[in-house]
Amino acid sequence: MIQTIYIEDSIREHPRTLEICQRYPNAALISCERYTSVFNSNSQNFRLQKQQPSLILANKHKGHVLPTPPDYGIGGDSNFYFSHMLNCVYDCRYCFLQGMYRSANYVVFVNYEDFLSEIQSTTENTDGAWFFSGYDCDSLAFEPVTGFMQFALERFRDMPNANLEIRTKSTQIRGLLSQPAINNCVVAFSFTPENISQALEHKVPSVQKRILAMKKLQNQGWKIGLRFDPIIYTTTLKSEYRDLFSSIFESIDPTIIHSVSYGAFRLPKPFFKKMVTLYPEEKLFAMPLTEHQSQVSFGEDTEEECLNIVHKELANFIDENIIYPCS
Amino acid sequence: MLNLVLATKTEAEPLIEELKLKHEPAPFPFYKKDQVSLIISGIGKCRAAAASAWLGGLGAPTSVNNHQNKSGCWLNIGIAGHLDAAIGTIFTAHKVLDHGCDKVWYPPRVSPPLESENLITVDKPLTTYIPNQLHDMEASGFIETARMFSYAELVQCIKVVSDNADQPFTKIDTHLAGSLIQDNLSSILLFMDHLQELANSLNTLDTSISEEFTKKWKFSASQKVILERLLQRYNVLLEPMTAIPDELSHKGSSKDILRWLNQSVNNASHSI
Repeated sequence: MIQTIYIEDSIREHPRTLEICQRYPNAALISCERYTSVFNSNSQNFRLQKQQPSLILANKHKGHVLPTPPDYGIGGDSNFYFSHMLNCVYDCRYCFLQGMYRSANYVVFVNYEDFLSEIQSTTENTDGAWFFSGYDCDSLAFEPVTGFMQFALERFRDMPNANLEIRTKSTQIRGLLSQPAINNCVVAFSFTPENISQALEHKVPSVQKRILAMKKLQNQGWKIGLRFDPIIYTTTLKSEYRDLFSSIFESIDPTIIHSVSYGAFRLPKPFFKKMVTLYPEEKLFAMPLTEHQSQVSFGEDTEEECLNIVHKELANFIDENIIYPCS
Repeated sequence: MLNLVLATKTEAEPLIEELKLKHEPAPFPFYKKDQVSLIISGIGKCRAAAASAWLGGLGAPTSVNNHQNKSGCWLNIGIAGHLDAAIGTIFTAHKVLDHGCDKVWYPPRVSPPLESENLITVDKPLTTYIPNQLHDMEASGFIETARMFSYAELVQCIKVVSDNADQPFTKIDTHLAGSLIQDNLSSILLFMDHLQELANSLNTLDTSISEEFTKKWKFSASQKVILERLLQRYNVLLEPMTAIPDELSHKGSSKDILRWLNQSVNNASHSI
């Protein structure tokens, strides 16, 4: 439960601010001029904050929609991402957000209209652009509080030339099930094998619950994507992914999957360094990792072995044309 | 470590007595017992900053582990004015504004929280009260300095209301200041315990064995950093190292030690 809400002065009376604050009648409301003075201040400890994150309500002034890194995508030529929220309600130990942000508090930008109008204007200059949600947060996990996706989907319905990926580990799908599926939206679920998930994906719904959520969505006509990123090396990787894929494809129809992507565990070196300081006892960080071109990973050979195994196992179920490796 | 910074002796006395702190010679009135230090800064933000800096210097890093360096708890405890809060009400500060330079800090609220309030640090007592603000004379100097030595979550201010619009400030009533702290002592102690629990949650690995290594072999500063991390990894992947392994006793140099540790962790099991 949120106990503290920081509110930017400029959006103190914004209807969404009032609505979100109403959900937490016992929270302390603290005013701030700009969210950055709370979120980016020095000396914060991400790990301590993660024990009881606060909520920061803010206005995003610019950069609502940004181009993705060059190799990021699922087959489209124009790829963009946007983040109506910074930070995640889950606590995945491999997540780069721990290394990127000073604060574990959740920032929600309440000016949803500005995100959608920038998406709209970007769409006018591109053909079939993809817009990825879920880069700086989980797209659905905080949806009951923010209602952002509900808002966005209504707009995407009227933008057939724009494609939306909702990336998530959440089972908060009530909002999606309450409306007809739209053709230009993919709900992409992220997975690691069960034992990895239990060890590293704290507070995340179980693999089975996520599969069930996907099944419900697929049955209602929503396009489903599968994301296996990061792949964490273990000595039993092959059997773990074989079991994971069996569980998934026993429940959902692989022939109508929209896309599958996978990528190896890798982190920018400064992020990794900070994460080790935060969690020195974490086994994942104690394993023999290597540094190459400012990235920390399991090393080229191990990575290649992992990716080959996963690709091969995937190809047993999925048309290779819709499998996208991520680098 | 728990570091307490108070402005006056009368405010400090209930804590000195309760925690059985002993006076030690220092540039400021200074009291200590085990892991608790208390310093009496005098009134004003500059004195609070100076006392905090001196106290912070005492806890100079002895380990390369960042958490061990920075996991001390810091508390500024004292009295404050408030427009309409009842005298004797205790608050933590969730926003500290320096009235002189408009600089702002947001001490993270830690659970379970005391009631919290905005706090404005003034250079001299104000004749009128600003609504919804505690008024003190030390917090901004304390917080800016203490954050150089610890994490923001572990640097907190506790204030007890000593004057309000109905009973305004005229001059410091030393007896009142002491009794207000005394009356709220149980809440203050509870908050201290909680803060220390929070700090302890960061110190998850004991690598104090590194001191044995650095006594026995000569490590450069950068090698000490590598040694500390290798010992952490050894503890995680193999077992907690409580004594220097026998097979290392004949190793001649720090390089040999680091090589051995590196091989040991790389050969360990690597399944999550």
